[in-house]
Amino acid sequence: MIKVLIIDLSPTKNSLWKNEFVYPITKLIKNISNYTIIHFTDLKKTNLETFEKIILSGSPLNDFKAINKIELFHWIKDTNKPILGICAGFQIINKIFEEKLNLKKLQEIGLIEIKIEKKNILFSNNLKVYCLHNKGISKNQKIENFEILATSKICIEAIKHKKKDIYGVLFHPEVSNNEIILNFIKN
Amino acid sequence: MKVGCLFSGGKDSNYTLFLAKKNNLDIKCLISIIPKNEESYMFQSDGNNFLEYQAEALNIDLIKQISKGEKENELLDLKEAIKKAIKKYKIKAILTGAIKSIYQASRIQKICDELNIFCINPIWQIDEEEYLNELLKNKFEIIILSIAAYPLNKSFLGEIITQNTKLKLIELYKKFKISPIGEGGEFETFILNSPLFNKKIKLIDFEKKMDSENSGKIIIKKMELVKK
Repeated sequence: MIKVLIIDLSPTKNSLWKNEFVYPITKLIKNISNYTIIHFTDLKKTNLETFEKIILSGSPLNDFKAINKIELFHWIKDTNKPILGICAGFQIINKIFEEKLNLKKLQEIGLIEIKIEKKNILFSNNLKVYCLHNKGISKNQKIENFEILATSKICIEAIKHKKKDIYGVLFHPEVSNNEIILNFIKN
Repeated sequence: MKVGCLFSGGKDSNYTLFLAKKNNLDIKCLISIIPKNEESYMFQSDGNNFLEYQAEALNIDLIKQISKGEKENELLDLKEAIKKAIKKYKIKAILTGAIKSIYQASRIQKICDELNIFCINPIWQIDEEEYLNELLKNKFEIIILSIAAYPLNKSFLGEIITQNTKLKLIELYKKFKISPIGEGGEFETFILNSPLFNKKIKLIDFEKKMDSENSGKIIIKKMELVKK
């Protein structure tokens, strides 16, 4: 089975936010993968090369601990592993590649409609997605290194790196539209 | 971290407390919204007159806020109750027993955001069968307080959830797609005993009141706290 690393971006290690943001992912992939969970503060101790795919989890609203430790994530630039970043993971991926980018105060909480902008392996239709974020990238903002896969009325909601298999979704596919995570693992 | 827990007296809020305690969170208070409207969109309406018994068994303060139970107004009542908890107990986060309801969870998230505190949902998206197993393994004594879905009937009312009940509920899920944990409002529960209780609750007198063949509830007349 495929070896997957899930990086827990919750503010503290083994907190109940792991139940909220990581376990729903493991519930989905437990039968199709051999997964390992680590907290982001343990990244330096982890040999990323032993994994085939990597998922960066979400984290609670108004928590910015992981993104404020961006130096722990520079490996994303060098790796060729497929990565899926969810919410906080999406924000970190953007911060790594788009250094000049400032995340704006753009709140979306609840079910939000998103429009597909480009055909991709994760989803094929417009969707209603579950959002839980206070910051995002404005729909009209230019980003250099990514293709925009989907947008909401105000935000860029899904991206893919132009040269790498690195995906980011601002919404939470571990809550609804679970097939996005399954497609990432299977494809 | 100092936390308050949204509390209905059912299995979800009690199991959430159990996980919070295991995680060494400092649980300062229980917060209960008492809807006057039985059809509340957000809050459990059954068993509310007996929450004090659980609060005493848990030895945790209880904040009760009466609400008319009208769609968006009840959110203002919830916000008021959380504000009281922040002022009195300096809590930094709210715990909820939300599992699947995006309607419920997103509204509580917004309130916590407005009040500048965190929201923690430890059983969010939990696997339903595994959850039932955990409740039984940890010896939660759960009584079915109300039913509201075919083919649940009068015989389920007042039943203590055992391994046998779990199997029945899973069978009904397979046949009729009703949630085995009552997540779609199929049934509501009340906890008589939990690993966190210092005493357990003994149900002395109750009657079953049916509105139709598949909808009804228990009217609790008397209960008391007894030694475990």
